[in-house]
Amino acid sequence: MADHIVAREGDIPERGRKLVNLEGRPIGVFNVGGRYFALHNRCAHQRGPLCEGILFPRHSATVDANRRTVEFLDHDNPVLCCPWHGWEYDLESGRCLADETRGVRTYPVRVDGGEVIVSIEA
Amino acid sequence: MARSGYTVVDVDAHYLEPVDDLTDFMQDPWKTIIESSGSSAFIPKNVGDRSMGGRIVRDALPSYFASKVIGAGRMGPEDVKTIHRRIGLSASIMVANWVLGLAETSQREAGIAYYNAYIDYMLERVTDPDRGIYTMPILSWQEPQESAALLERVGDHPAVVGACFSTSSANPPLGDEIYNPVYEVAERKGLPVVFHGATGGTLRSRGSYAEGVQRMIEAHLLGFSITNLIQITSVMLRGVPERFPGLKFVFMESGLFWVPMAMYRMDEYFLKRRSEAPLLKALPSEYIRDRFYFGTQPLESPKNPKHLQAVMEMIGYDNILFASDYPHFDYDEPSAISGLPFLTSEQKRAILGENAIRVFDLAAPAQPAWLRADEDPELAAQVDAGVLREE
Repeated sequence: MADHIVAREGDIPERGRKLVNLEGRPIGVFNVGGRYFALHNRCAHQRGPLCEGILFPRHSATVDANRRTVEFLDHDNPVLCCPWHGWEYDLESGRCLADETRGVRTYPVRVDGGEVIVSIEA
Repeated sequence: MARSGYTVVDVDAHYLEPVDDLTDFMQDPWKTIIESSGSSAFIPKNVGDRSMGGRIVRDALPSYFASKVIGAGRMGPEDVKTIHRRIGLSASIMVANWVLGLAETSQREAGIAYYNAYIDYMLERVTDPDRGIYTMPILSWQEPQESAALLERVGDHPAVVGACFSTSSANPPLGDEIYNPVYEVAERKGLPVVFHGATGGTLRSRGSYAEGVQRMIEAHLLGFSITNLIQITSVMLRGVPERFPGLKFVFMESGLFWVPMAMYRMDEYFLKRRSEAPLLKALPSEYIRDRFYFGTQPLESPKNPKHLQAVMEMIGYDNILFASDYPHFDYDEPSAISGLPFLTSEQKRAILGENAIRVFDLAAPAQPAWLRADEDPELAAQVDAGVLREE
């Protein structure tokens, strides 16, 4: 287990990101709503630059009492979209929204003493 | 950008033709009509947004998604080399982009004007066989005589390697004898006939196979695959392979899994209703093994790779041709093939380039500078810095 300081608190703005390379791994670090997330920067599809993609509102749907589709966009809980083909990922779990069995590795991120720290476990 | 390490020939690379500038290659009346009205008046726009609201980005061609107007995304000749570097290609067969939509509109005279101007533009400004940049004329199903004349006019050019029908909504389907004039020219000139569909679900359409669907996820899924199923069934069972024994047939852009369905369903029907396809001397699936070829894109990715392997074995490794379809939203990297665990090196070489070289009768592509650069870090730095130009 190794801790890596990737930024000072405040360096990465809200909805911002920083792309880093830690122990040879390309990783993207995101700040959404004051929480930090770190994901492996290679899409599970064809290894595209996932962490260079946009954050887009999470698009979901339910069925109402009349069996009609009702769609929602959650702007506070965005997903990360790979720029090559639009695959959508949950920032926290790293899982692909369209297929939970596919996803990318996520790394624990914490703020300690004003520093943003990503942990890479063996 | 990781390279596959193989010689890659892309059989379905899209060129964003500058539709409003194609008038330089037109005569009146269409030259003046299009100059004064613009291409959005004539080329149907699809329902839906290929960029998925900006989720999908094309760094090598930022203009493609930048504007919502037909033809605003455009390329120049230098962009082809940029894309060769971006995807890792030694050669590509360029296919039009915007004018493919004309297959689905009743404005067939506009189509003839655009198709003629497109190929003249490409041959004068873009193609370069020495650098592996080829193309095909786009042919109208609505005007077989005009298409035959167009193919006759350009078919001997060294950069022309096939005859490409824009197939979407073709009626009657392309096995009909009214299309004989086109097949006759293609066979005489030794050009494979390529069948390229379109999305379906247009905002101004004469009747595409995907009418009535709400969103592009359905229209795109169905438009290409249903079009290919209809066309291969018609071409096969109306006996085009026997009427034109010298022709090869290439189908693009609906992946691979539809092919076994076509093969075995046609076989079943042929066994039971053979006298309705009396020209055929063997099972349809045998003609497919012999003279039909399939672009891989968009390659399906089942979780169990054995399923994809089974499909590839059904089709035949010699009949599968890598296609990127760059810059479209669902393009494939060459790694979609080179990364498959069940393929041998020989099979990867065949699918990524050798099959295309054989089918389209291409010169073996020269190894471009950026490919050599992968073996030489100093060269790589120079190529990336733009210092070293490709020879």
